[in-house]
Amino acid sequence: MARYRLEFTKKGSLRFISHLDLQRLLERLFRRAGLPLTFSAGFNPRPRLSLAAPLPLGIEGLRECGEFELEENLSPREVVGRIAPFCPPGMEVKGLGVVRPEAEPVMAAVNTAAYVLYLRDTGQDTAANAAIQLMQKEQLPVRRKGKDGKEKEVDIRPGLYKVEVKKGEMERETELFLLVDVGKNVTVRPEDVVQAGTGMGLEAEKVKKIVRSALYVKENGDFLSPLDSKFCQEVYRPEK
Amino acid sequence: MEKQMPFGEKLRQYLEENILLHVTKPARYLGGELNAIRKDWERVPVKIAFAFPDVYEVGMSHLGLAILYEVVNSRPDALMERVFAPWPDMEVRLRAEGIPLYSLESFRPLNHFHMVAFTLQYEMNYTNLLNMLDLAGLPLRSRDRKAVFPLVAAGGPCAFNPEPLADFIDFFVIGEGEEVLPEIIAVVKKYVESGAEEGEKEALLLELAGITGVYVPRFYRPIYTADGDFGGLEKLRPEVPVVIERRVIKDLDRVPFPRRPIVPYIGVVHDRAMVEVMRGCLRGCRFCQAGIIYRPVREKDPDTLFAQGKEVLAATGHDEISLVSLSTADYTRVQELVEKLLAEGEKKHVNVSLPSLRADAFSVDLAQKVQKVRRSSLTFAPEAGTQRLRDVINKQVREEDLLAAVEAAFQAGWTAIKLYFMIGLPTEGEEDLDGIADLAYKVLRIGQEKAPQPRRVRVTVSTSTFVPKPHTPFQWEPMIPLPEIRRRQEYLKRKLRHRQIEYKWHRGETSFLEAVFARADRRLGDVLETAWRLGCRFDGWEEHFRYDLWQEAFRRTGVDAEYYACRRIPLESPLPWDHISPGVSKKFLIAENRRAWEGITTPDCRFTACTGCGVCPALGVEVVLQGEGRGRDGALPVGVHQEG
Ligand code: SF4
Repeated sequence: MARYRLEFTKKGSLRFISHLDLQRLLERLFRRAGLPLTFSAGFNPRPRLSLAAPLPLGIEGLRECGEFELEENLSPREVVGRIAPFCPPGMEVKGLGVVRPEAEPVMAAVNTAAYVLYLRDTGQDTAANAAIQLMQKEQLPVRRKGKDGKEKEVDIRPGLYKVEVKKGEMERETELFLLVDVGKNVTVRPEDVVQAGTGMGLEAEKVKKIVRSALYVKENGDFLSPLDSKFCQEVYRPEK
Repeated sequence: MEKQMPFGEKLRQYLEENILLHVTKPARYLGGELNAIRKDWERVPVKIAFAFPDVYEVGMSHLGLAILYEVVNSRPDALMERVFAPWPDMEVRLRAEGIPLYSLESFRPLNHFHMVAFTLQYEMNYTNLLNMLDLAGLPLRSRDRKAVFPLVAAGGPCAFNPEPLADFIDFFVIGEGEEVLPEIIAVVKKYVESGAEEGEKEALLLELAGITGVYVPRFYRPIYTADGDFGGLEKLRPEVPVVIERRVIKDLDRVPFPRRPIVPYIGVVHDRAMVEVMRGCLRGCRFCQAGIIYRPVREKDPDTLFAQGKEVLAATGHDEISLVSLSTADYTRVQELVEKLLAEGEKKHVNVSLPSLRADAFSVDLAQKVQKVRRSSLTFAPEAGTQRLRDVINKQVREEDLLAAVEAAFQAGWTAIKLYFMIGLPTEGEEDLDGIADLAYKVLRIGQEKAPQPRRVRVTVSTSTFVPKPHTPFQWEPMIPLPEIRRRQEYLKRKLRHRQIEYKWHRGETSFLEAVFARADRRLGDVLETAWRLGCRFDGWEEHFRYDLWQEAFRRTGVDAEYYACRRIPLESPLPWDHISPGVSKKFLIAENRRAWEGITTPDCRFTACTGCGVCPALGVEVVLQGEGRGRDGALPVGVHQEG
């Protein structure tokens, strides 16, 4: 038995499938690849496969992360070789490592996400200005629909770690980088930041595309990759 | 000027960037699933779109789609792509942007295809069918579609009364599609390759009408009597057949089966691998259309099934395999097949599921084998509350058997039992409704005595309303009127008031419309179109069903809905579907109707002599069993048929 941590992309059409559907897609993928997952004990055994930080529908993920346990002990290179041919278009393995026994489960460990927002018709100065203002505020209250359908106010400031601006590839396009909390405490979604920045120069209509570029484990002020040698060994990153 | 919408990759990109984020379940409209087949458009002569007039999740759970997808796409000279009814939120977007309904493989509008083939699984899908034609930019009426292609075809169980759709559909396919579809493709291909021009449509359809099982409604004209009753169908061309005979597969082991079915990205109604263990059911319930139009029983070889099951699992990665048929517990080798599949699936955590159970201990035993965890409830369908009425409908379930099955189920650890009944069956009286309630309380009492946790026992009673269906012994019987449906439902509601019993009923209005369209003649086409124009869509979905709009449609067209649903049709009257033959003789249906009224049952011909339904001699088929039964134990020879 061995526990593995996987980094992968969820791009293209895959961005339109939900977290739960992705989970089931992966379970079927392992079946087809002939790599038996281990199952939980008990009345209703479930395969031991879990995904960190649900990605909102419609957003592409460049480094998503999950964890699973296999019945066999195989080298990460071999596991990648076995599953890669079964990955649907849009899913590519970025890295795979064997999880150190003392490491926390990935679902609990991953608590930070990096997003890139591609803004059209937005000058770099405007965006940079908004970034500064956002970071200067002590509080950033946003309205959100709760599970019960009622609106409530949440302060996202404690979960907003970084806002940076880069010139986009296209004319009059700007890229806005966000580093936000996706842990148990204040999960910040990119549209929350746009909402908070409305009136500072950000506008929801101007967001052309959103990408989640990476997930991290925030530990003592450091943002570590989930495949960091602190958590994983024998990490294999396929070329290409 | 009309905006030229892109198709193919460009359309897909446009949808992804502009539309799909604003609709529910965008993956419904994306295609690209595992095992979907996208052929080289330019290299394949005949292009067919399989159109399912319901939402993606329903259509993708339908085995018939998977089978025909395989039949067509395994041929080098044809391709089949899929299209489903867009959910209303998507419809709004498509219309607003002028995007025509497109196929999920090539992202091409339906007028790029040679044939758009609808499957008719349910009468309440008919407005969706019209809506899909309209969204594709095709004129609704067959006569108004001047271009040769696409031909609009329809098949499936509801095609056994094609008349309400006769004005919209170019041709219907009656019966099983595996063998007739290639014959149709051959004709279409000829016209495709010769570059058919406008005006040749008639000739093409005439040629199709020559294929057994193909019905081209434009070559027939209905006659009505002075009283406005249906009076028969007149042939307008000498070449076309008087009676269109259903197609049937003799040997199911020898037709293509989808070994690599498509796996949807999103959860659908049935998320599992499927193998079809047999076709047909010979129990002979007198209300049941499937029991007639899929006759006779043809079982598949268990070795074939086991091999196919393994292949499907390997190609899909599903964690469950379902043995599909009308009554899987009747498959003569079911035990052996289930055990083999369970042994195979054990180490891989693959479950086996049986979609239909009989009300007997054998079935409970099977259910116990396949369901190690008793999370779901167990369902039985006694259909009627008294033995008398069960004899009338020929549902051969005895109360002792049902109660024994229930007892076994409670002892095996199930706590929830569901019971299905029909109300409004011919001859039903108050004592039959009381019978339903009595049975529910008997089941509850057994649960309270035998279940390990008596307080957790739940009994659910579900009733639907009897709908007279074409080609059944009850096709002449009236449906009870709407107020009467409500009265009987209220009666049961009062009788079934208990904290451990739940009563569920089907909405009467839906069943009523189902009955109207089930027994419709061509005059209902106008009602349908009017209802659609008024905004009716997804009528089978509670949240979209607009009975008020339907009433308005009947009012505007001056059609009396009750006439179709609620009258008793005299046995000697011509029926609007008389020209469609399922192979079972009308004489047999009449005899069965008479026996019903006399309360005489008719046995299942798998285990007795032929009872003379006529299907075997008429269609040149035989009952095919893999185990004990006719012809196997030597007692009952196959091939000896009673006069129909
Ligand atoms: S013809 Fe006879 S043997 Fe064949 S299905 Fe009908 S009753 Fe059964």
